[in-house]
Parts: sequence; C-alpha cells; structure tokens
Amino acid sequence: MPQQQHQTAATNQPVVQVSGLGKEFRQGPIATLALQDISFSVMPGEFVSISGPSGCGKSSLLHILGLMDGYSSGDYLLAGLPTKSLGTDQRSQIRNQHIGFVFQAFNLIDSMTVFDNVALPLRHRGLPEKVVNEQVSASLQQVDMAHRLSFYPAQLSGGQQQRVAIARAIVGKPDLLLVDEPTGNLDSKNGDAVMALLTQLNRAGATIIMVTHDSRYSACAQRSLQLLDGKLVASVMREVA
Amino acid sequence: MDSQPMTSNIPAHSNSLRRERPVWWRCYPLYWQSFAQGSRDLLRLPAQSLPFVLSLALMLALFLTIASLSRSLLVQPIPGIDKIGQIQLLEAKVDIGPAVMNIMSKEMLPGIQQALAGPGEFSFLGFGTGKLKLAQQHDVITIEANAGAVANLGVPLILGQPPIEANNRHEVWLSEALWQQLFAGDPNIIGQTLQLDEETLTIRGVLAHFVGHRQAKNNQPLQLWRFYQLKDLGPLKMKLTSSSNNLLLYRHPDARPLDTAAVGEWLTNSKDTTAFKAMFSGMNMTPAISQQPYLTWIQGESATLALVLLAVAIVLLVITVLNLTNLCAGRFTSRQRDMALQLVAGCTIGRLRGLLYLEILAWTLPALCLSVLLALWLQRLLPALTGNLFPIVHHLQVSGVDLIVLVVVVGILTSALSWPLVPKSLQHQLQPVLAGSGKGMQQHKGLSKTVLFSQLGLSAVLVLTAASLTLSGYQSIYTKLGYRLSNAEYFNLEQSLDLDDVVAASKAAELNPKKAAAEEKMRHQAWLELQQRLQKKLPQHQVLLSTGLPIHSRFFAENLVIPPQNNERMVLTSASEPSFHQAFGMTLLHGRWLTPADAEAANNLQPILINEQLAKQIAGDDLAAAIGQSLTKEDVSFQIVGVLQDVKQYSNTANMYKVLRSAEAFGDIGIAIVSAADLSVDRAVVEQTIQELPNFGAISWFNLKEEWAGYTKQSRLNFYLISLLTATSLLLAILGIAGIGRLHSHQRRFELAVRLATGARLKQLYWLVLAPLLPLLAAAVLLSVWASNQVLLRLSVWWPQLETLPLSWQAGLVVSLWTIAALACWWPVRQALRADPLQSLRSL
Repeated sequence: MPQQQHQTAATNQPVVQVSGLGKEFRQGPIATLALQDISFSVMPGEFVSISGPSGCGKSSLLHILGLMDGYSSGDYLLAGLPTKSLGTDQRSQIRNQHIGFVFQAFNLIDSMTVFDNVALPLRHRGLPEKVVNEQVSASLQQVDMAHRLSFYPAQLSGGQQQRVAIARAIVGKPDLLLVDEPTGNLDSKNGDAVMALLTQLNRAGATIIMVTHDSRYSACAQRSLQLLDGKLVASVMREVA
Repeated sequence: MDSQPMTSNIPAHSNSLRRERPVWWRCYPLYWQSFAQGSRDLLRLPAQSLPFVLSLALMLALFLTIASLSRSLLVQPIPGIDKIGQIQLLEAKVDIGPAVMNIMSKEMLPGIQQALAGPGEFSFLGFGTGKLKLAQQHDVITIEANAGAVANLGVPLILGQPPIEANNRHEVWLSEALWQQLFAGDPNIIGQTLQLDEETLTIRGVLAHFVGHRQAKNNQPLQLWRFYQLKDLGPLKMKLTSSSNNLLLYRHPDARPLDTAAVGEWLTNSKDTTAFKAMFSGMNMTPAISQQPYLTWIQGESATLALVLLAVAIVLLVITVLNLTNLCAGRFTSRQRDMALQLVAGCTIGRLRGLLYLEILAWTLPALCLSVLLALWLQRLLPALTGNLFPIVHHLQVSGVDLIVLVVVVGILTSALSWPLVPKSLQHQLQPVLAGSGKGMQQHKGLSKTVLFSQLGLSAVLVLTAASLTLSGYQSIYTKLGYRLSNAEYFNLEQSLDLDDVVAASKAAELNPKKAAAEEKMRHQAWLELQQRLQKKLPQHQVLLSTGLPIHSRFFAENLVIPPQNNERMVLTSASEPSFHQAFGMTLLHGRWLTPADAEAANNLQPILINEQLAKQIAGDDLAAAIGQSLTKEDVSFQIVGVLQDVKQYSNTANMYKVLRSAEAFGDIGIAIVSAADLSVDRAVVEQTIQELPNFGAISWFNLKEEWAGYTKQSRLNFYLISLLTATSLLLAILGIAGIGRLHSHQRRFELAVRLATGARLKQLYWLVLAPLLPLLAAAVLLSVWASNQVLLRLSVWWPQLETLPLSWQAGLVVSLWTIAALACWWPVRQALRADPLQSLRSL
C-alpha cells in the first residue's frame, strides 16, 4: 500500500496543548458541566486514545479539539496557536488545512461519488483539479479503495465507507487526525481492518487522537486518556508493538 | 515524506490565515457540484421541485407583468417617443355643469400658434375611424395631424418620406402594423394608391405604431396618417361637442409649459374668435385654456391602480418567497449532515452560503425562464382578451429593462431563500447531526415561526385591506347603482321626414311656433303608434317612451335657475313616461313618483323628480326640504315632487327627470324595452315593426348592461384584480401555513411516535404541535387589523370613496382568518398522527 506523506515530529512543540479546559452547557437556568479542568498535551506523531463511559465528555472534547465547538474556560493551543479567539472562518481554514476527521457514522455525502467525497477538503482549499486528482487517487490507494472512486456511498459496505471516510480525512495531509469511535458501526472484521489502517497511518507520522470505548482498540494507542464525568482521571502510557 | 515542521503549517497570527484563503473562483468545482446537485434534485424530487418552480414562476410572471405595465405606464407610456416630459396637452374647457368638456379643435391651432410665437412646437392630432377598401374592407384608425406633428413628437419613420407642409390631404402614411398585415411589408408600396371612405389616397410612407391616446380604441395598430396644411383650415367653428379624440400638444425644448395667459388673451380679444365666443356667452359659458403634462394625461387614473397593483404583486411575491423558504427549510433539514460535513472539511460559512445559493439557483432559473414565457404570453393574451375594455393592458410591454429587473429580483430572492438555511457555526445545531444523535430534532424552529407569522400577517393585511376595497367596489358596481341592472334594450331612430317638409317646418317654426308644435305632434303620434305596435308584439315586456336609459352614453343638459340663490346651472335632464323610474327599480327617497296626470299639468308647473345631488344643492342635507321648490327656465317652471337616489353614472351631477309631454321635442326620443330576468328582446321583431311604419330610418341600439359595462369597466377591473390577488394571497398563505404545520410535525415525528407508542392521547399530541403556533397566528392576524387600517388610511387619499369595514365585519374576518390558518396547521398534523407509531420509529 503506498504511503501517504504526513507531517512528522520534527519539533518539540506539542500539536495539542490543553490546560484547565472546561465546557459548560447552559439551557436556561440549568448549567451542565460537560468538561472540567482537562489538561494534557499531544506531541507530533503520537497516537492517543480517549476513553470513558457514555456521556463522560469524550465527543465534546474531540469537537473542541477539532475546533468544531468552543470552550468555557482554560486554554487550548493548537500547534502553539491560541484557539479561543479564532473566528468561524479561521476555524474553517485551520480545519481544512490541518485537521482531518473520521466519524463513527462515516458521514459521507450520499449525493457525491467516492472521489468527490474524498476531494472535498482539497476543493475547499482551491487546489487545481490536476493536484486534486493526484492526491485523491493516492489517498484512495492508501485505504485500498481506488477501484471504487466512481461509486456512491450507498453502494459501499460499512467498512468500505469508513475507509473512504479515512481517505477523506488524510487526503489533505493534516497535522492532526481526530477519530470518533471509528469502529462503532462496524463488525469486528471491518473494525480490525480500520484500526490497522489507523495504526499504519500513525506509523507513517500522523498524529491521531481517537475516541473509543472499546478497550481492544484503545490498546493500539501509545497513550490512553481516561475520562469520567467530564474529568480526566487517568493518562496511561503504553508500549505499542 | 514531507519533513516540514508542523508548526510552520499553522500560522501564529490570524491575519496570515486570511491571506491563505483561496480565491473563491478556484473552488469552482464545488460550485459546479452544488449547481449540478440542485439540477439533479429538480428532476429527482418532483414533489418538491414542481410546486417550487411553478409557484415561483407564476408569481414572477405576475410580478413581471405588473411591473412591466407599471413601467410602461409610469415611465414610457408611448414606446419610441422619448422626452415625453417636455410635452404639454392643451385643452379648451367649458364647464357645462354636469361635466367639463374639451372643445379644442384644429381650427384653433393657427390662432394659438400666432398668439405664442416662440421656440415651442405644436402638434394637433385628431383621431377618427375609417373604412379601408382592399380585397376586403378593414376598419382603421385615421389620425389627422399637422405636418410637423410627426417630427415634433418623434414618431419614427419606417419607410418613405417624412411628412412635410407641402403634402396634401390625398397623401397618406401607413402604420407599420397596417403595412405588415395588409401589404405584407411590401417595400415598393410608396406611390401606390388605396381607397379610404370612397377617397383615393396615395401612399407616401410608413410610420411606427403610435399609441399616444388614452383611449385604447385610438391606439389600434391599423392606423392611417393624413396631414393638413394650416392655410387650408377654415374659420373657428361654433360647436359644443366634446373633442376627446383631439389632442393639441405643445413641446418646448426646455420643457417649459405654455403661456396659457397669452392664449387666453387671444381667445378673449382676438376678432377671429368673436363668433365662437358669442355662441358660448349666449349659454353663459366661457371656454378656458388649460394645460397638463401629456404624461399625466396618458397615465390618468391607471397610474394609481398600477402602483397599488405593483405593491400587491410585491407582497404576493414576498408571501411566495416565505412559502418557498419553508419548503427549502424542509428540504435542507434532511441535508443538515451534508452542510455540517462541508463545514468540517473547511468550508467557510460564506462559501457554504454560496453553495446553497447555487443549489437553489438551479431551481429558480427554470422558474425565471418559465415566468418570462408566461409574461410574454400574458402580454399578448390580455389585450386580446379584454379588447378595448381595459386600456391599461394595452400599455403592457415586457422590455429588456424589465427582464434585468426580474433577474436582479430572482438573484435577491435566491439569496433570501438560501441565507436563513445556513447555520452560523458548527456549534449546537450540527454536532448532534454529525454524531448521528439528532433524531427528530427541530431544525430552523425560529425561521419557520418567523415565516408563519410574516406570511399570515402579510396576507391578512392584504385580505383585510382588499375586503374594504372589494366591498366598496362591489357596492359601487353591483348594489348601490340607483337602478336595477335589468334586461333592457333601448333604441332611437332617424325620422326620415321629407327634406323639403323639414326645411319648410324649420322656417315655419321660426315664424310660426304653432306649426312647429304641429310638427312635433306629428312626430309624437308616430312614436306612440310604434310604441303601441311593439307592446302588442311584445306583451311580456314593458315598452316605454324615454329620452334614454337610467345610465346612457348620450345625455341632455339644460340651463336652469336653481333655488335658493337662483343661480343658473346646467342640469342633466331626461324625459320619460311616468312609470319609467319604477320600471327600472330606481329608489324614491322622498316625495312621490310621477303619475300620468303629471303629463297634463300646466306648462308653468311641470312636476319633476330630482336626484340627491340636485336636492343637496337646493336644500342642503335635508333632502326632503327640496320637495315643493321650483326650477325655472325662461317661462317654464318645474316643481319638485320627489327625490330619487343618485344613479351611479351621475353620482356627482345634478339630474332632473321630467314626464314626457305631448309638447316635448320628440327628435331625441327613443323606446326602452324592459324585460324580466329570464327574457330577452328579439331585435328582429322590433326592426320588422319599425319597417312597417313610414318615416323611420336607421336604428341605433343601446343595451343597459352594455352601458353599465362601459361605465363600470375601470371599477370592475380594479375589483376583479384585487379580488383575484387577494384570493391568491390567501391561498398562498394557507399552503404556506399548512407547509409549516407539516414541517413541524415531520421534524417532531420521532417525539410524536415515542409519545404515541407510550400511550399519549391524540388530543394531547395535537396540542403539543399546535400550541406554539396558534398564539402566533392570533398575533399575526390581530397585528394585521391595525396595519390594514393604516394602509386604508393611505389609500383613501387616492380613493376618497373608500371606507373601512364595519367593526363587526372586521371581527368576523379576523376570526375567519384565524380559523382558516388554524385549520391549515391542523390538517398536516392530523396526517402525521395517522401514522403507525412503531412504523414511524422504525423508519427514523
């Protein structure tokens, strides 16, 4: 499988640096603390998993890290850049160029072909179509889906859809890959294949933060962060083969 | 492997992020994709796209038609003629009491030109009709003009030579339409001859179609121009006839109005006008020269109507757009995830808006094209359908400017449709969608409530305002006429007495009034004979001698001395048999009806009926006090015995109704035949009866309903248009409200299904969906009552007869509107709740 190029750990600056992060949801007079005093950092090339019971704030944290949501307190530096005061368009810009997302529900656009789905971030960058073609082809080859590029999502199996979703996430060579329960909607065979792919990407230099509640897969990460009731309760380092 | 340090990829300063933003056009594949997606959906989702395209196309066509009409009428009512603002229309007006007549004639032109030596140019146009004999006979409009008129007005010359002073009356210029239609656009037509009303004329050129008269009949496309020389004009004629077909136009290069004082001076002091003035001074009347901008005259009352229609069309378009916004909200609710993914992939909010814009544009473009076709079709259809009945539609001409306006409007509308659909950020709305946990979540809640409120509010304002307009219109057209709109025919005849006898009788009349009376008696006897024969042949009809119908396009006026100041005033008079007024259902307000005995009353005390207007002039608000008072004319005195309700045609004029007497002048008499609603008069029977009698010549027929149609055409056009537009707005609002009800119940179907599955009662679920909507509907309707009263207040400046609806009517309408709106909300909820809850849950 051809290797997709990724940014490498050529600096000591963390990709993600979170300190004292808190998130409060308010609905009328009722305030709910989704995240409290979360602090951690992720170095370039690291594979970190976030796990915890349902409702503990894993997805909220991932959305904040992906600049899809704001936070109420604390600081979040993305590659040293303070994110608190970023505008909507700046967030879009950074997501487009530096962050890739993989969702549990695949979230491919049904009306677009595999090719168009994967090309989406590159087209938002305004790259010439020739470059788009090359990078999309390379990305699809990397996830072994190059033979399905004119298919529509509805014509693919769940595992294939997730591989296309991963191709879309990595096509722009992002610095940070955020993965939310990538195996949640897959059977174990397809789940294993997706995890193998993510591990491979990490070995190629990709920085990955993955939310999962499956301990088998969290073991693939070098470090596991444990959340409980919105608080970071443990950070476990692992030796990964 | 790219070994570039990661930190260099994320600029530390936000300004540098802005510089990195790609130029928008480099993202063209995304824009194309969106447009293609919209186009695909157009075919793939006909249940959504057809209502969208058709309703938008219809409303755009309506808007384009009315906007074109307004532009044509307000900006350039005469195509091809620019600088119309420089032109003034001159009228010589005489106040005859019941009406102000324009007696301007071409014979006045030399004198006026002489009185006003200066840089201004005069054009005199006299419109008439003629019969053009080719292989077939054709009715054409003839325009007689001074030679300079064409150049002065700027009527474009299509072929041949321009008219000059040296041309004579036997030379003719064709309108372009006449040339095209009757001569197949033959370029060798110049120098050929044609027959017009037995005259042989030589064709000298072809001019563009001229639509410079307010009356549509004069703007027919088949026109023949003839030119006269000022030196050929005779002396100023003495005549008191309306010359509404004559136009005297004055154009000053600096758009300066004419010095009417100088013309007035000429009219008063010139020896040329002595005979002319003498005729009027004998009638206590003084002609006065007045002027008004030609543009204002052409526009007439239609300008106000055009503006009101334009306002209504805009409101309808807004209501339609609100409907479509709702439709789009429904459509894009299911596309929330796609939008979220675009944002996740780095799309900015602005670009997302652009993408949605293009997707909606793919639906609005076909609507735009369809609307242009519809408007062009309407442009041909409306004048053909209405003929000369509604001149306003003859001004309809869709131009390039209109199309540009339409394209801009469509651009704005598309923007308005796409704008509210885009979320402000990924937060709140889209995260659950991406996480797959947004089941049954209500999207665009605020938007749909705003749409609901504005939609009902706007259409309620329109309905309430139009209800007042239509009520006033209906009363003035149908119920408060002052007479019954019955089946009635009227005819008068030429009495072809021997010419020598007539001349002898006329001469004798001057010398011997007794002979003249005998002549009149002879005529009277002939009419009585005819009346009796007709009554025998038409026993089921009422045959009555009269000078006219209750409303009539010809009328007679007399100068009478009127109390209490004993001033001389013109009064419209009619004479008929005593039973005439009751036969036509006229309403007696005070006093008594006329009786057969009144015909025999003494000459110095003839009983008469008068109308409200005349009674007001005599007795103020106490109309009954007019009874017993007398009007006089030389040695004749008329005593008022009753007051009739105003007849709509003459609502602002003084009217007097006499009994037809044997001594009456029978030259103006005719016969009215009144029939029951289910009967009609056989004209052939009447004409055959007339032929049986000697001394009667050509017959002229009139019909009461046709006369009514002629007098009420503008009111009816207003009434029909406003009723139609109001009904359309109400229908649109109902559809829109039903759409919102559908959207609300659809978005909450998960919740509804769960509640149904857990045993909720239907009543509770109805309440759940409708409770937030019903107070909104009530607020919208109540607010519209205030707004419609404000609109009516403004409109009453233009239409003083306009009244606001009585409170009870307003209350009734408010309750009805609210009920209709509530039902429109309830229906789709009912449909949604009919579904099997378990089936609904499975499908989510």
